[in-house]
Amino acid sequence: MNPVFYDFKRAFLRPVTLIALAVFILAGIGLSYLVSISLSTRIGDFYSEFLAKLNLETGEFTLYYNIYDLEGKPLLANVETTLSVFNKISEFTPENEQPVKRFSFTAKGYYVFKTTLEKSVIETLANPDMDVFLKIASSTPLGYWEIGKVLLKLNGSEAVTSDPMILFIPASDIKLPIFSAGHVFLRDDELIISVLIEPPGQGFQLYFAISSDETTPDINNATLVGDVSTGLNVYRVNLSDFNVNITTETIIKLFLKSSESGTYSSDMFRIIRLETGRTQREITGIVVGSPALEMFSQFFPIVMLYLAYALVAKPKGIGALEFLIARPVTRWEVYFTRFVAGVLTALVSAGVFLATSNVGIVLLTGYGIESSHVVTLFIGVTGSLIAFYSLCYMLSTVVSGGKYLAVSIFLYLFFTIIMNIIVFIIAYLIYGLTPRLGEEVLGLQYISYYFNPLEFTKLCNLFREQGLYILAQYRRFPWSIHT
Amino acid sequence: MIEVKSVSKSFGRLKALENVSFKVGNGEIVGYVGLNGAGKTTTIRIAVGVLPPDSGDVFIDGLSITREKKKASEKIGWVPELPIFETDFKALDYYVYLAGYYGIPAAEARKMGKEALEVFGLGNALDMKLATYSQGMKKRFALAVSLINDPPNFIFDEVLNGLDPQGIVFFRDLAVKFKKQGKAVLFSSHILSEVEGIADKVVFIHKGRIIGVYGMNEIVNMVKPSLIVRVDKTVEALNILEKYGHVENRGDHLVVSSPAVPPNEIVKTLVENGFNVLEVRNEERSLEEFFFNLIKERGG
Repeated sequence: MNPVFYDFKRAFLRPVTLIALAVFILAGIGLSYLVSISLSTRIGDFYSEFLAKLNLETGEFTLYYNIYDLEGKPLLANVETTLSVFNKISEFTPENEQPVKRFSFTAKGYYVFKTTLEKSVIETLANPDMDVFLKIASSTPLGYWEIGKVLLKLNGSEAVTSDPMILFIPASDIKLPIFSAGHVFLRDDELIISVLIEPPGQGFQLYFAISSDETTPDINNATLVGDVSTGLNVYRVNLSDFNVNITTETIIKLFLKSSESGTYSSDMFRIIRLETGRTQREITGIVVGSPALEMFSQFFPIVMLYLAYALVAKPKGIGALEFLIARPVTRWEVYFTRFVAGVLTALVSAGVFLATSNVGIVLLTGYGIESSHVVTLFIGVTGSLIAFYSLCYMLSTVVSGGKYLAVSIFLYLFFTIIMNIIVFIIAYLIYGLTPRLGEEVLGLQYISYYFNPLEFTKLCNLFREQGLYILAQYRRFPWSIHT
Repeated sequence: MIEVKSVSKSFGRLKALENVSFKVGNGEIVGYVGLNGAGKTTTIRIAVGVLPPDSGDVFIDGLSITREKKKASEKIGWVPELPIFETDFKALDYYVYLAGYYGIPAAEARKMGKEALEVFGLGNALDMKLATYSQGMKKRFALAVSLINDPPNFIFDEVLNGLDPQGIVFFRDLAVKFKKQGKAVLFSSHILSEVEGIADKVVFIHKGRIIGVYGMNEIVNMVKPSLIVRVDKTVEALNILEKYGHVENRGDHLVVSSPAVPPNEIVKTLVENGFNVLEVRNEERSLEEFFFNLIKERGG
């Protein structure tokens, strides 16, 4: 076996390494839960839509539900719906709400919930003195959102509501409007129209028209996007074929047309530009500022310190390297092999820790850390471990045994505690108790990162942020970079 | 062949070796004898490449240990006086690990290791940690490792120290076996009699300098018996006996080293001079005395 791999095996499969790694894997799993809880307990950042219909005679209740994440991908949601009634003359407050029926279901994107309500429930809901209120609470990995809507009793037998409501108004006054819910998204050059609808007849087709000025588009300059069926209708339109420039001012209008029923038109509404990577960025933000990552960067170097002791300082101290050096190998090769073994241990340990954390986050939320930031974190964490290991290793080749342990432990404490204290003292001595002190301490801390192997992770994040800032500036004002 | 050429080494102010040179030919056992601290182990550590010399070099089959370390190390085996291994290793694992430096794949090394350790009486201790091995076991393990590639040159450094009689016989026989196989064997000891019977020649070192290189036969020839004489008047007899050789007064008797004439002539002279000769006998002079005399004469 190649001695490098043997030494790596010895270093990695050492109880101290495995125990520390197990602890940090647990911390990584904890981090996954932290991210999951942080995301799921906030106000939801997603796009949900629903269309509810209640037949007050038969008791048939149909709920068309659909939910997207910020990138327009189907999202997992636990949905709780409550049908309540309010007395029309009383104040519309939670105290006056009388829940009548509750349902719950789990949706992965689109879901149709159908049930038939009991007669007693129907009687309550059909009471003309009462408003029927539908509350939908969606719990997702990306947060929680609750919305309530009054069901409009269109005629004696049907009540309906939707959100976000797209109301198709008929050209002819004698017909009822068509309730629907949906969004229009823009992803690069692709227009995505998502509509939940129950068309009142056969042969309906959906048209769209875009306007970037104040003019109201009509059906004559609208474009056909497809046939309409009951439930979720998703249409994708490549805008590059239309030569239009979508801005924040651009509005869209939808039309429904059928040869039997005529034309229906919606209100004008704005197009939502889908954001790629926002959830991942938020997850990354939580991970970067999390104690688990900080702990790994700060405490795993103790394992590296020990590895330098076990691989070099200790055998060198007792003279055990001599027998090895008498083999067909040079002293330099022995030291290099063992250094590489430690570096591989750092790479694998950091990789396992980050992979476990990321896999845990993906399993719990469906989203991971930004892939580019995973690289930054990996470089930062491994860089931190390797930098400290290199320092300890260098030390282990000079001093052996107990002396090595004493000096390396001092160095560890110096970089984790003493250096920060020195930074505070220097900042205080230079700037005194001024309002700028906090800012200056931060500045000096950043400078100290250049001299602290254990802070390489922070330095990497800092460089990344600066790099992204410069990139963003360049994209906005490229000429400023050139000049 | 092992050729030590003008090797010097200092540790701080202490000159451990001063211009040390000697050769060990193929099919030859050379005893390397000196008192503790004379510089034997330092020479050997330089010869196996674990210690760099200040000047000079050691050539193993013509390969410089300082400039062609890897190639030279392939041609030499070494059993140290006190082998020290990395304590967290199990014996067979360490064998496999060290075999890796000879380019032997793990599976093959494992098989080789089991066989070799079995041959050297360590078959029951394959999975024992090296830290738990006795000195004798460690020496056998070092031997097994050093024989991984069956090198043509071998160095035993004070290998008989601390061994039981069985162990002593084992290593002496092994050295002779190696000699018969045509290997060059350097066998260091601080006791000259340890190399008697196996060594072809002996290199004596004292205070870092070579004080003599003798063939074993030459040494045996030089070691002549002394005459022990006990008379009634010891002090007076001293003047008479000094005519026949170096005389040492040991209180109740006198010792005449390498007397120039036969014992009966000395007795005759003593009787003619009025002494009562109470006892006359030959004393076999030991090899160690030869060694100490050599130190006295050339050691400075």
